Amino acid sequence: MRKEYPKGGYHQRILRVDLSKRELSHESVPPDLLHHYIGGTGLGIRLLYDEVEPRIDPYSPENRLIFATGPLNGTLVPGAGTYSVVSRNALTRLAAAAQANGFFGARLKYAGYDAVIIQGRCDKPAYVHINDGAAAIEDASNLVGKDAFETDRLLRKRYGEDGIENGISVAAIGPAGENLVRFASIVSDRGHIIASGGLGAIMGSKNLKALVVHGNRGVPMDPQDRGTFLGCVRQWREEAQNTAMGQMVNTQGTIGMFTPYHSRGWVPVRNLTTNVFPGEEFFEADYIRKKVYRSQPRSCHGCTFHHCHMVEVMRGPYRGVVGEEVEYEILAGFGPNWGIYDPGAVTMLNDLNDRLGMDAKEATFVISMIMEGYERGLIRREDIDGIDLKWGNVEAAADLLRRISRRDGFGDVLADGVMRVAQKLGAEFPNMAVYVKKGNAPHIHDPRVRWGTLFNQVVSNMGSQEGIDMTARGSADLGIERPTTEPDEYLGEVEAKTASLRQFQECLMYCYFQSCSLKTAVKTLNCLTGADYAVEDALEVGRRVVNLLRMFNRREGMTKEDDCFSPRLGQPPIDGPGKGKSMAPTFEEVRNAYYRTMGWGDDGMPTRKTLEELDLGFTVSVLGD
Amino acid sequence: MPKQLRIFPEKCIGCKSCELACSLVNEGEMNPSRSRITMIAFVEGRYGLPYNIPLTCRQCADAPCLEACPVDAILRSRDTMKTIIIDYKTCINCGKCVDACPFGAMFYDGQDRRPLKCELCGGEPACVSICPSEAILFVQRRPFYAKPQALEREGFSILSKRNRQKFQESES
Repeated sequence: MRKEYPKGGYHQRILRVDLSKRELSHESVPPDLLHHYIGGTGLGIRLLYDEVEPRIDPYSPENRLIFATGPLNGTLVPGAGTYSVVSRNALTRLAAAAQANGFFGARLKYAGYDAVIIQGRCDKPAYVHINDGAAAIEDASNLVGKDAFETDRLLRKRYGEDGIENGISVAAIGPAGENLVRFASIVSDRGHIIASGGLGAIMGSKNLKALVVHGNRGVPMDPQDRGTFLGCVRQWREEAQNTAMGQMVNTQGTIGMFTPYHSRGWVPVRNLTTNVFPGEEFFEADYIRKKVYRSQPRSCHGCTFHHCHMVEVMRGPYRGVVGEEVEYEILAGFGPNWGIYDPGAVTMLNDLNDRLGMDAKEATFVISMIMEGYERGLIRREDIDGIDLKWGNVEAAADLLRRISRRDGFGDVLADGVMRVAQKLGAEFPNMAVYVKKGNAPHIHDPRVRWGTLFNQVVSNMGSQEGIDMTARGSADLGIERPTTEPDEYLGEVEAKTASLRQFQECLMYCYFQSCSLKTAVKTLNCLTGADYAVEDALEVGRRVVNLLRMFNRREGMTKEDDCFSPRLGQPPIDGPGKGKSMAPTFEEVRNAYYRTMGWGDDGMPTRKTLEELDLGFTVSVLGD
Repeated sequence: MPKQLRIFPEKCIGCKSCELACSLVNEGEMNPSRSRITMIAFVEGRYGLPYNIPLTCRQCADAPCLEACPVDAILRSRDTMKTIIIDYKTCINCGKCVDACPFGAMFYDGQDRRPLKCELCGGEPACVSICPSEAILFVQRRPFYAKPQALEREGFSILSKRNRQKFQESES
């Protein structure tokens, strides 16, 4: 570490908001902490590990909610408006770290902070306004019950202009967060969602409705580096546009994935009861973008892609609906997984779900489970408030989403997420539920034959994807030459390597779709902050983050048995391209290979040696003997 | 004909890279509040879909800022570019130019307490080279006249006000 580190990228200031005492304070961040964890998820989990007492309730006032930015936030790096929220997980009670794109991360930087730590609980609803190195806790009683987009609009109007985005970002919870729906999300910049981990419920438990950030402080940097930095950014942009993923997202958005994924059997159809979706032609990107939508681009901070759009539906019963262009996972989750054939209806449901402030992953799999149960006669209509929850009933699904967000009637049952609902309903339901064993729903795929996605969701420590799925590609950065086409030991080894890379990226904070080569990312980081990371150091930071996440979970009582999946995810598909394949028979081997490559013991926990190598000696006591 | 910035709002994707590139090249830091170009996003309320409008100085042939300056600190460059530039040595920070510009293109840097305007980066505009969707081009075009344009805009609002009034009268 050089002496003058960090010369840019950080304000080296953290805002601490104690809602119980209504106190605000500033803290500086030691440079060696930044050098070890960089920012984002890494910095967040370290602060959480140090501050949160083990085994407290996630809804306890003592729990922390940490909004963290990385050094690249607010710069010209494409997609550098991303931020990470770290806390205890409302669904799994373990760690949670979720990211959202948009502008919020950049504006938190412009407001003069690298991170915000929120603790305590307000006696009445409040929001926090952060501007130019100062903050205030304000009364939010007029925002109670308002949906997330409306809250965003009202707060932007209060501090800026009505209907115009004036350099102000709002991260708010909707009614779901206020009512402690266990999978509530935090919604920022009108449609960029902190979805995983029920972090909206944590925010709701603190009686905190929103965070408003804006400011006039630039990203600190040495003006002499401007030329070099611009060069790095140009290279980053070019590389990001030329990856396979970049080319797809740039031209078609993530909905372009639907057709190729369907042909591989990766689209979740009717709660994974089948693998074939007959309405495929209505979900092709070309059809949706040209025939269903009229759209206007609304990209994130510094993005170069034609990806995020606001759209108006031009066809079908939901003609005239305005909302965000849906992403692939939502398209699959609120479409095929509920037996819905109309992309316009999916757009309406997506907009509704965003406004209510819920995680689409849990929402889709919890409702699809009840739909399956209803169709099979396992649950009667009078048990579900008289809703006719047949496959493909759009209005019934919308009604149920609203009920969940209010915790009204049967919605109160469903508001606890897939695993808890299945356990509560009992009978056949635990065998129908789609979740991973820590207690959260996986990303919205049919992951049963998408080995990488399933496996890295299974071993993930914080609910979202921790590594990168390599079922269909390799990685030059990691020396992974062939894809993981079978569920074998190779899969475990590869996923262990990708976790380091992905978690390094989540410390930097930029959009996942804007991935460049590791070399360029490290060069850009070094140019801005004056650090001297080599490529291996970067991967070591990622590895440190994964290990610290695991040790956090270990302290919360996680065991090897939690690295597992629900019975439905182990069943082989009965038809389609993945027919008859399953990870269940070889799962033990894959998992052992993963642990081995990670430098972990057979119990799925880091060894003392691994921890000490990674400067995580302070966690060793958690291992016990 | 001098080369000027030509902006196509319908091509803008709203990424705000232009603001950052501008402040990086001219001020040495990435800070949208010190940029000489702004992308305004009309998000909700006016129309169903949002609209992105990048706005900056048009180097008017009849520049109101130049005429408004009491100390002649705003000048037209003598080269072929005909850029309007601010001479900060003479500038007294009176704010008259900020008031005078009908297009809001005379920005103000609250940090250094001085007006800011696009000076075309000396012939290689940073916003043009960073824009990912070719919404800002640096091309030869006819000189732009501020006064008729400003009056035209005022005319639009007068006309729509009159029409609204007539409608309301017929309703009552």
